[in-house]
Amino acid sequence: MVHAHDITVRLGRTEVLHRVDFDAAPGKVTAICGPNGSGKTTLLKALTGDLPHGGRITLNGHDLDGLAPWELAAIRGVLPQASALAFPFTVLEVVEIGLSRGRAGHDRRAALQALARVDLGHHAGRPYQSLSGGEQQRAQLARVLAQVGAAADEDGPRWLFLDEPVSALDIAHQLAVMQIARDFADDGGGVVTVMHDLNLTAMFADHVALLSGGHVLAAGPVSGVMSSETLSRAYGCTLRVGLAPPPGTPFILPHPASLAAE
Amino acid sequence: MVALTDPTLATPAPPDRLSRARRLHGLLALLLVVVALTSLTVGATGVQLWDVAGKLLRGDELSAMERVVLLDIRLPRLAMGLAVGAALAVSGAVMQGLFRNPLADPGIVGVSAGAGLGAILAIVLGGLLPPALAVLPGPYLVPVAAFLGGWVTTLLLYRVATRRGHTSVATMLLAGIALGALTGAVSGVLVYMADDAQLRDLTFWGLGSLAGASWTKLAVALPVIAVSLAGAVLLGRALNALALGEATAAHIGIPVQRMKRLSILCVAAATGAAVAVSGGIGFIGIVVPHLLRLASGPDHRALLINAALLGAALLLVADMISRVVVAPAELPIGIVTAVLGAPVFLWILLRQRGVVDL
Ligand SMILES: Nc1ncnc2c1ncn2[C@@H]1O[C@H](COP(=O)(O)OP(=O)(O)OP(=O)(O)O)[C@@H](O)[C@H]1O
Ligand SMILES: [Mg+2]
Repeated sequence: MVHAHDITVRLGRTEVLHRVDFDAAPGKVTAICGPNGSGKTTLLKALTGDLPHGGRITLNGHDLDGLAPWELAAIRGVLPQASALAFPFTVLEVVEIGLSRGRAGHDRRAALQALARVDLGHHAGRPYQSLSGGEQQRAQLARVLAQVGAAADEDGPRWLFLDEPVSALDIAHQLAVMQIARDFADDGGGVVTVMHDLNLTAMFADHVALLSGGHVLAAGPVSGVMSSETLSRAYGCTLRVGLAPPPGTPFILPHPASLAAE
Repeated sequence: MVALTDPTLATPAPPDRLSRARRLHGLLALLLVVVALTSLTVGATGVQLWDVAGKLLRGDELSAMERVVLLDIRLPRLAMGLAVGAALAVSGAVMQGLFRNPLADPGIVGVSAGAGLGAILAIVLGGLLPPALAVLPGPYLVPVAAFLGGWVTTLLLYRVATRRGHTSVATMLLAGIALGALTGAVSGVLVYMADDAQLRDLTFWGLGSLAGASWTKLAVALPVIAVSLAGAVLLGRALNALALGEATAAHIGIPVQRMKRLSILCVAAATGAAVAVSGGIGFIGIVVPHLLRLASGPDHRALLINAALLGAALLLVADMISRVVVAPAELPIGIVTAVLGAPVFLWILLRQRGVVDL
C-alpha cells in the first residue's frame, strides 16, 4: 500500500500541495492526472521521498522517512519526468547503474532483459546520449524495471513511480509501455503514474487521482472519476466522455470552444 | 508484452567495457613499475640503478654516494611522485564525478589554490604562533592547513556552483578564477612578511616541484593520501549513480548527501596533502581521467583505480622530463605538466562545447 495523508508541500515560498490525501494499492495502476502545474510531479516526488513535506506517507506499511535510501531502492523504482546523464555511458551501462543497489544484484542479463522489454535490446551497446528523446525515456524505464526486478515477492509488493512515462513516445510504444505497467500490476506490484493522456489512462489505469491547483478534485475508480463534468471542471475546457465499442472503456473527446458554444 | 521488433533478430552482445577497464589495471600497473624503475636511474649524478643492483646482487658494499643518492634523494622522490600523481588524478576523477562534469579539477576550479593558500599561511604565519599555541608540530602544520584550505574551497565551490542538483560549469570555472586571484593576492601580501627561507618555500608553491621530497614530508603526506584514495575508490558505484543526477542516485539507493560529503573530504584531503608536499602541479587531474574514459569508458569502479595508476606513472614521467631537459638544473614539474596538460584541456573544452552549455 501507498498511503499518504494530509500531504502539504511548500516549494520556495509557495504552498504547492494543500493537505492532499492519496492512496494506491498493489495490483492496481493508479494514475495521477491534472492540468500543467496542478502538482502531479510534486505529489509524486513527495511519495518517493524526494521532497520535505507535511503529513504522513507510508509505503508497504513503513513510514517513508524511516527507510534508508537502499531500503527504499529495493522496493520501489522511480522514473522522473526528465532525466540527464553526465558521462558517455552506454545504454546497457545506464541500466546496470540502476542495478547497483537493488535486489537483482549485478546481473547483466537482467539489464539486457529489461532493455528488450522496452524494445531497446538492439541499442544496448550504443552511447546513451546518442539515443532519441523517446528512446532515452524507454532506456530510463528499463533502468527502473531492472532495479525493481519482480513485481512482488514474499516481502511484499514492489512499486513503480512513473512521471509521464509515455510523454515522448510514439503511439505503439505508448501502448507497449502502458502494457508493461499493466502487467507489473497484474503480477502483484503497484504502479503510480502521472498521466496526461486521458484515453490511455482510461484504458490502462484502475484508479485515478485528479489534481487541480494543488488539491485533489476527485479520486477513485476510473469510471467514477472520468466523467464529462469532472474532467471539464479539472481542465477548464469542454471534454466529452463516451464509451468505446467492445470492452466499454471510456474514451475522452475534446470539444473546441467553438463547438462547445453551440 | 507486445514485441515490436522481431525478437529472433539476434543482436550482438555489447562490449563489456568494465571488464576491459579492469584488464587495464594490470597493464597500467606494469607501466607504472617500468616508469618507476626508470625514474630511479635518471638524475643529475652518475649513479646507475644497474650498477647498484649488480653490487647488491654480488653482495658488495654501496658507496656512500650511491646510498645518499638512492635512499635519500631518488627513493623519497619516487614515492612522492607516486603518491602525488595518484592523489591528483583520483581527486580529479572524483571531482568530475561529483560535479558531473569532465572539466572539474581541483587545479582548475581553485581547490588546489585554496589548499596552497592554507599552506602558505601556515608557512609564513606558523612561525609567528607563540609556542604554546602551536598545537601542531611543524611538519603537520602545513599539510593540515592545506587540507583545511582545500576543504573550505571545495565546500564553497559546491555551494556556489550547484543549485537544485544542477551544476553550472560557468559558475564553477569563474569561482575558480576568483579563488585563484584571491590566493594570488594573499600570497602577494605574505611575500612581504616572509623571510628568505620562507620566500624560497613560497616560490616552490607557485611552480610545483618534487625536489623537496624527504622521508619526513612523506611520513605525513603518504598516510593521508593513502586513506583518502582508499575512500575515493569506494565511491565508484555512487559516482556512477550520480551521473544520472542527485535525485535518481537517491532513487537507486545511494545515500547522496553522505557520499557527497565523503567525496569532498577525500578530494580535499588528497589534494591538500599533495599540494602541501609538492605545490601547484596542474592538469594531471583532468588529463588522466579523460584519457581513461576515452580508452575504457566512464565506469568509476574501474576509472578511479586506473586513474591512480596512470596518474602516478604520468607524474613520474613528467618528473623525469623536468630533471632531464635543463640538466644539471631542473625545471619545476608544474611547468612540464602545464605544457603537456593545457593543450589537452583545451581539446576537451572544444569537444565539450557542443555538449555542455557553458
Ligand atoms: N521550486 C519551486 N518554487 C515555487 N514553485 C514551484 C517550484 N517548483 C514547482 N513550482 C510550482 O508548483 C506547481 C506544481 O508543479 P508540478 O511540477 O508538480 O506540476 P505538474 O502537475 O507536474 O505539471 P506538468 O504537467 O507541467 O508536469 C507549479 O505551479 C509550479 O510552477
Ligand atoms: Mg510534472
